[in-house]
Amino acid sequence: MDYFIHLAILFAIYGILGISLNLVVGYTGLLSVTHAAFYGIGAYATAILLTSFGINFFISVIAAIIISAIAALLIGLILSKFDDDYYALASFGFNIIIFSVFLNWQELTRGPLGIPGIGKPSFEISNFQFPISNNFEFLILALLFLAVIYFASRFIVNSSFGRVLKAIREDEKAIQVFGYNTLYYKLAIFVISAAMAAVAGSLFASYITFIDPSSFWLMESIFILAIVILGGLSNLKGSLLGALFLILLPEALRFVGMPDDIAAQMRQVIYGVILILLMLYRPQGLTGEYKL
Amino acid sequence: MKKIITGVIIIILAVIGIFYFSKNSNQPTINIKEPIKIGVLIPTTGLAAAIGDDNRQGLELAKEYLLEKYPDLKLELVYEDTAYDPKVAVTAYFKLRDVNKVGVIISGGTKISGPLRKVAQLDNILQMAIWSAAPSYSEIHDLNYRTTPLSDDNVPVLVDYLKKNGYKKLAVFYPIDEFGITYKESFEKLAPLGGIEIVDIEGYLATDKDFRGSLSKIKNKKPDALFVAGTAPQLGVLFKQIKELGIVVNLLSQGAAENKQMLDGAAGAAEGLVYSYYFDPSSQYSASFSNKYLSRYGKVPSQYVAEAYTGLTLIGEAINSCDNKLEKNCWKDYLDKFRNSPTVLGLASINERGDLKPDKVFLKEVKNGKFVKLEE
Repeated sequence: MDYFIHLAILFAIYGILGISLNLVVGYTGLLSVTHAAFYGIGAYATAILLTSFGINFFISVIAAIIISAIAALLIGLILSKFDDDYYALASFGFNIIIFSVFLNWQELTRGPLGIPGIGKPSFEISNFQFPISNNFEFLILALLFLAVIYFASRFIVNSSFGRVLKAIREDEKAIQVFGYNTLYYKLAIFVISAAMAAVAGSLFASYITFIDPSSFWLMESIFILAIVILGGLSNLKGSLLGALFLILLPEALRFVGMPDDIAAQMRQVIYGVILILLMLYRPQGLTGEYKL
Repeated sequence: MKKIITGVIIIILAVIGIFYFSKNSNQPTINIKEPIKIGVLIPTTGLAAAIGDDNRQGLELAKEYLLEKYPDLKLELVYEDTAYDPKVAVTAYFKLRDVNKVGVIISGGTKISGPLRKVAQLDNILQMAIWSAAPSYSEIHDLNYRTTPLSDDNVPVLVDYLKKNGYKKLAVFYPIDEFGITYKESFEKLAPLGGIEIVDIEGYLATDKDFRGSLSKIKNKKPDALFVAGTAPQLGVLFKQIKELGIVVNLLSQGAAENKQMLDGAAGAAEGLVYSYYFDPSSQYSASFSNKYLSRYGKVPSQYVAEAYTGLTLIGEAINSCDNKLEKNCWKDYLDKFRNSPTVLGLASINERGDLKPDKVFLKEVKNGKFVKLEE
């Protein structure tokens, strides 16, 4: 049933986004609202390389990771000048800047017309070719990427590097006293997170086969942040749970019988009420270790 | 804790499963009299919700008309909200295709119809696009149709008006989306041919609320006329800000301007606005439809109502001509041969790209707070 496979693919993509943002927000305590920008950079990199240059999807993913990482490095350096709320505001600003680039650099991105006809992935080794020809195969690919990113993130957070990130979250000044260069750690995790988000963007572009700037607007960053907070800060499984919940809940509400003329509006109300209740009774999220 | 998490997951999956299976268990597995399901993908929430409301009204009237005219016709409309977001629309489309098993979709809006065309084409599902003016939608024609005139049908009438009234300098203010860009490009192409100089072109985002910066730039270029495209709420705010900035120009727009929401937002600033329109509610072809709509809703139908009505009527006529069977090639044959036939949009034809070409596009104006035909 393609509908459920479609939801599963969206879960995989948003799972990657949730895990990658959790590394920055949950583990390091940096409230970043830029994630949709890196997601978009990944999507546009893949879209442009596939449609304009005919480059293989997997090569385009590597390129997307590199471009996103470079962008994150530059943005991260500037963001490192800010703390707390100002960090969030500045990251908000960067999301808007990147969105404006997608919208206005029409020679590269086709602006609001978007990029249609993005190809599907294809495994090519020597003369052997295996194109991804249906949604189920794409789902397997997306889940593989999700698994790789999940285990890589788990390795990071369980390592000494991860412990330093948590220490930065708890008390940055204290960890600096012990001689740790916190700028390096914050920058590194920001870049790693952006690279992972780019993978999600590449998958999204190839799956939907059409992208336009509206998919990477600020609200998308807030949605990804909601996945992290709802699932639980500083818990990777929580990000998966948050993605599952936020993808499935609106779809489950489609099946609740309501008069057609108010169904969509009532769904939004119910969705909002459920989120509020969850935050009232589980402010740390479904599996979180601490509250924001 | 694990129990709570497991419980939440189980509950969500159970909800989906229960409703899905309960809906399917109520439907007979084989029934030649099963209605043909038509998926309707329109915005019922978000910025374009007012247009979605108009669409629904038109569709329900069309359904009543068809069922009255053809008692054997079995049609069922299944509505899904797109929130005017392509991602939401694609998810809703998959649900309509896989769960509701629709054979036809009606999609509302340029931003939605384009992305859906690609998936519907692969699935061999007939698509009727309404209020979708982007030329790219019908670049490849198979089972995709639309009822909306393109910007290239609207702009010549506006350019003619400017030429006849001696306006020489035009500014264009457009929303930065596919809809706005098609109008901008049409003016860039056609205005010079009419001897009109485009002195400034500015764009704005759908989410913008303050247009004063761009409007000030336009003011400095001293145009005689200013064309503004957008949705009704945006246009209302825009016209108000134009007046506040003291920009004295002849205002032009397109069909979306005919909306009470625009008039309320403009608060008198839209007086004298001239706009292109392609639906005449008092013509011989639309009078009966308009009267029925007026008696039910207490107002004159908009072009969005008319387009939705026309779209569903065309589909219904095609299905009826094919003995109420799910035979898309037969429907395609009917629609591709639709020539000079009456619709509420006038005497219309479907061209080789699947686009319905209306009788004519004409001009209307805002006069004393009312929308009236422009006297020539």
